[in-house]
Amino acid sequence: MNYSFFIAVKHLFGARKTFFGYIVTAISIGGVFIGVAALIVVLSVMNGFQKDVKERIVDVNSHIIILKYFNEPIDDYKSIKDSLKEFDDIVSITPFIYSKGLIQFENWTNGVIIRGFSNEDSVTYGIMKKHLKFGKFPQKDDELILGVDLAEELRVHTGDVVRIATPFGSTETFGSLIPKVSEFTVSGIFDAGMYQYNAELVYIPLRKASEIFGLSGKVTGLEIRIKDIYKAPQVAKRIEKKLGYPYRTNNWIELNGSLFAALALEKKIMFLLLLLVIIVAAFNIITTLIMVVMEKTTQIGILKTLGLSERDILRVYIYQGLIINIIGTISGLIVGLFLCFLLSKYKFIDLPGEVYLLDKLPVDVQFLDVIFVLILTSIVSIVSTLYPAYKASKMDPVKAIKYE
Amino acid sequence: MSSIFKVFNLKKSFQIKDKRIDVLKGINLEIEEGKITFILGPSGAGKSTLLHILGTLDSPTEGEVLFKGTRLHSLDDKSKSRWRNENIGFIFQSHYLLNEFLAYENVMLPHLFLTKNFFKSKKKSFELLDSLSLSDRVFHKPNELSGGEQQRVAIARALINDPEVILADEPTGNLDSKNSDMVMQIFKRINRESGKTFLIITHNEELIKYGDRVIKLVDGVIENS
Repeated sequence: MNYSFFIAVKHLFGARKTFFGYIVTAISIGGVFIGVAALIVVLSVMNGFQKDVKERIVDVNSHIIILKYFNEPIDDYKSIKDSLKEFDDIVSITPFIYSKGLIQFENWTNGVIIRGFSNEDSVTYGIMKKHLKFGKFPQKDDELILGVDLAEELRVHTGDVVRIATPFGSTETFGSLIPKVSEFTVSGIFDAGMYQYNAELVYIPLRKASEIFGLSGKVTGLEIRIKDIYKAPQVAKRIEKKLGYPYRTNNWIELNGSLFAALALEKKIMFLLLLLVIIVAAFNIITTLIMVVMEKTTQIGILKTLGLSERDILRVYIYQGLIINIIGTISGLIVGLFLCFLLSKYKFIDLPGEVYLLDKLPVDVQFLDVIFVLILTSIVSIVSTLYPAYKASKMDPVKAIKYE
Repeated sequence: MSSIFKVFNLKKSFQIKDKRIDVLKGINLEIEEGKITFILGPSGAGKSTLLHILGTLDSPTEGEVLFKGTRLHSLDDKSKSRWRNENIGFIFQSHYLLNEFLAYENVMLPHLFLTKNFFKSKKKSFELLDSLSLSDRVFHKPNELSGGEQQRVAIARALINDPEVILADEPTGNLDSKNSDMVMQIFKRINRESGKTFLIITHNEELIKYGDRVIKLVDGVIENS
């Protein structure tokens, strides 16, 4: 056994002059412990939040959208589909219609986003089926599905008949547009996991959408799902190059850039705030070691008479800081990971969906974050040992042994 | 017999605020190898300061200390520490055992510093404690031992690296006459058996019967020797 380490362990956990000494050691270990556990939990929740939001966005919205400039409807989407066959990254290409309208049920109305989708589109069908909470998918042209929050606002249930008013395709009378009103039966209610979608989206069959928006067989655009969602900007660029004018593309990263930038900033700020916990823990380590140095003045002097050099004494105190750090870090790591596990397994906290987009706390423990927390804590702890260790090493042995 | 320590014009002063206190005022001295030498003098005469300087725990303000021809105070901290560990065994008035260590752990420390071998050091400390009739005390903490036992543990610790010199500062100061005699008998036996040099500070003139030579230090200067 390394003798400096042997002495460090004895100094830290051996007989102390006062019980207060033990408490101070426990507090410094506890400080590191809380810092590490809090950092791991908070960073993992932030990661989980980001990942969850991302997943929900790309789940309901597709990865890449092909549109025409000025949002002109696309009529030859089949030929576009054919021309993109060579792209290996593409999983599915689906035509869609997207527009805005008003929904009404009895005395309740709301502005909604209407998406026309094809029942033959197996990808969208699969995703929406996963989110379907009540009822079934539209089987007929005059059926629709809508989000849970919208349903709640309108007080509709499956089987109720709602009216949708659209400004397109209606007759012009006295120079103004009369909205076209169509009746739909609510066949199902979905929960996409995001308030924004649940409160705004209405899905109707593609053919019906084409009719009420006066598109006569044309579509708003094409939704593309790709294998690696993070390659969306590059694939979108290649598609744009291939199709040329008047086609343009949007991708999920570009469309939600500000949201992800805000989430990333939030994670950084949380990290900096929690770093303060680690810095407080570092001060605890300094206090503990200064107390140990003060308590052990005579012992340091004796050790020097026995042949320990200044460097050896320095090492003894650095080891003490390291022991505090290692115990605090490992216990913080275990408890932090355990808390993450509990959070992912059980729903402890109910999040109001209107505020947080998500209704429960998501957790995603990232290996690199954990490593970063461990390295950072170790650096802060080692730096905090330097001053007390230096003071101990420079202690005059004669003064130290006369001290008692 | 050759000199193990040679001291030339050794001076030590302390500055307390704006007052300069000269503790050692130019000491010239030779300590013979293999002998028991007593340094006798009243308190404040500079005995402990001289011992600390000889043991490299303190540095002189002026002058030179040679140990077998080596200029001790020109060594760096690491070399001095190593030299102390290998060549010097310190025994103080207060036993200065480390309270958080067991008796055998206290004894083995200097050997552990030297060999870095825990088991070897442990074994040697057991042997030494046994030779000083402390085999039933190896697992005791210092505060569980009597004054005489504590001092014997301290002697064992001073001897474990088989040093050439034992520097003892009032080693019997805290002991009754029975234990004092026992400690001096041990010193005498070790000196006889291994030829170690003893430099013992005391103000107890009764002890000098155990020594080969007495140096009187009064007010920072050697009176006679």
